Amino acid sequence: MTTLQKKNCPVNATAYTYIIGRIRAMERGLLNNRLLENALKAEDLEQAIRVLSELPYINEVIQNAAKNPSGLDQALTEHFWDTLKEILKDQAVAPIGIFFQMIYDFNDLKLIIKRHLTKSPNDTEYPASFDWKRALRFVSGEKNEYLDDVYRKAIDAALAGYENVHNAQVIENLMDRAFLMEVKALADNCESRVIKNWLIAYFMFAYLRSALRAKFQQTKIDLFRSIYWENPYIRFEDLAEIVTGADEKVIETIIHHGFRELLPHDVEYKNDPRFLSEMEKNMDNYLMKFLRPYRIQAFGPEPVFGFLFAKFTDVRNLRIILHGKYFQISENEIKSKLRECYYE
Amino acid sequence: MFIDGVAFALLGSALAIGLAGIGSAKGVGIAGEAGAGIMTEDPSKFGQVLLLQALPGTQGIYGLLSGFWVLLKLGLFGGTPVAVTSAQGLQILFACLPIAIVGLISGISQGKTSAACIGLIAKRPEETGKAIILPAMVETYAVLSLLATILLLNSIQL
Repeated sequence: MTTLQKKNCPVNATAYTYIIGRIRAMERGLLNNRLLENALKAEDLEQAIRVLSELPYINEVIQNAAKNPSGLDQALTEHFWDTLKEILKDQAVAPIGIFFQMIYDFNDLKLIIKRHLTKSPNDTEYPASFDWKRALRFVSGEKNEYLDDVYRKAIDAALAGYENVHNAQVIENLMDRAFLMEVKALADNCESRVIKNWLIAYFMFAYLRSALRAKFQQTKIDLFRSIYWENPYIRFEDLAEIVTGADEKVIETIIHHGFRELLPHDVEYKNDPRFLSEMEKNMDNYLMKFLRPYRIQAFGPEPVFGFLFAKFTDVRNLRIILHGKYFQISENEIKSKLRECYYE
Repeated sequence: MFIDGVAFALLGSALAIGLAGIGSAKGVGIAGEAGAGIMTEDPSKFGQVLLLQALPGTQGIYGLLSGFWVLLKLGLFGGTPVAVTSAQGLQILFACLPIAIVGLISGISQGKTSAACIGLIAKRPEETGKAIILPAMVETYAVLSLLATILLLNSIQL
C-alpha cells in the first residue's frame, strides 16, 4: 500500500469492544446543546470558561493556557491530539483514526513549507505525527531526513508547483490534493460502508468548498486545477462551472449536482464569506448527522469514528465560543457559527 | 459394545462441558474487553462491570453440571461403571446437545449484550438495574437448554 493507511480496519466487529468501552466513558465529556447555550450566555471569556468547566477536561486544558486566541487554540488542539493519540494506540482503530491525524499533519506541512519559503522563524510547533525539525530540514533540501513517503511526495510536488508559478496558493492546493488523495485511498480500503460513504461525502464537500473559495478569491481556473485529480466522485468540469460561472448560476449548479441540502435557508447567495461559511457549517452538520445514528451501535468501528469526529467538532465549537467571548462578539453571531453536537 | 456406549456418552459429556465452556469463555472475554475499556477511564465502575462480565460465565457452569450428571449416570464417580449399550450411549450424547449448542451460542450472545450494557453503565450509571436485565434475558435460553438436557438424561433408562 502506498498510502499512510498501512492496513485495513478489522472486519470483526468485536475487535472494537475495548475501545468502544473507553469511548462510552469519554462520551460523557462531550459538549451538548445545554452547555453550549449556557456558555453562549456568559458575559465574558472568564465566565464562559467557568461554565464550560463542567466538561471534565476543560480546567486541566485551559488552566495553564494563555487566555488569548492563540493560547486557547494551542491548548485545545493539543487536547484533541492527545485524545486522538490515546485512541490510536488501539491497533483496531488506527487504520480509520489516521484520517484525523492526516488533517493535522497536512496543515502542519503547509505551515512548514510557508515558513521555509518566507524564511520565518520556527517559533511555534503544532501537534503532528512527524518531527517538525526533521520536516523543516527535509523541506530545506536535506532529503535524507526520514519522513513518510506520502509526505515526502506531497512536499516535493508542492515545492515544484511553487517553483513554476510563484504563488503560495499552489502550495495550499497541492497539499490539499495530496490530502484528498489519501482520503480517497482511505475510503477505497475501508471495510465499513458507513465510514466509506462518510469519507466520500467529506471528499466531495472538500472540493465543493474549494470551488466556492476559489470563486470568492477569484482564483484563476488554471491555478484551481492544481487541487484536482481525476476521481470517480466529482468532475473537474462541474467544479469549474462553480468557479468560473455567473453568480446567479451558482445555486442552480449546486442543486444540479445534488448538494441542495447544504444550501443555507436564510442566506441569499452572494459571492461573499457569509454564504461560504454557512455552506461550510451545513457541510459539517451534514457529516455529523450522517454519523449520529451509528453512535448507539455496540460494536464495529462506526461509534469510534463518530466519537473522534464529535471530539473534533467539539474543539471547533469551543474555539468559536472562546474566541467569540474574547473578542466580545454578540451571542447570535457566535451561535450562527456553531456546529451541531454529537449528542443533543 | 459396552465400550462403544460409554464412548458416546462421554462424547456427550465432553461436548456439554467443552462447547458451553467455549461460549462462556468468549462471552466473558467480550464483556471483559468492554469492561477494561471503561475502567481505563473510570475505575470506580469495577463493581457493576464485574457483575455484567460474570453473567456469560453461567453457561460454562451449566455445561459442567450436565457433564457431571452424565458421569454420575454412568457410575464413573462411584467406581462401578454401568453397562451402556450403543443406543443408550447415543441417547446420552443427544441429550447433552441442547446445553452444548445453546450454551455455546448463548454464551457469546450474552457476552455481546453484556458488553453493550457495560457501555450503557458508562454513560448512565443510574441505569445499572436495567443494564443487568437485558443480558439476563439471554440467560433464559441457557437455563431452558440445561433443563432440557437434565430431563432428557433423566428419561434415559440404563
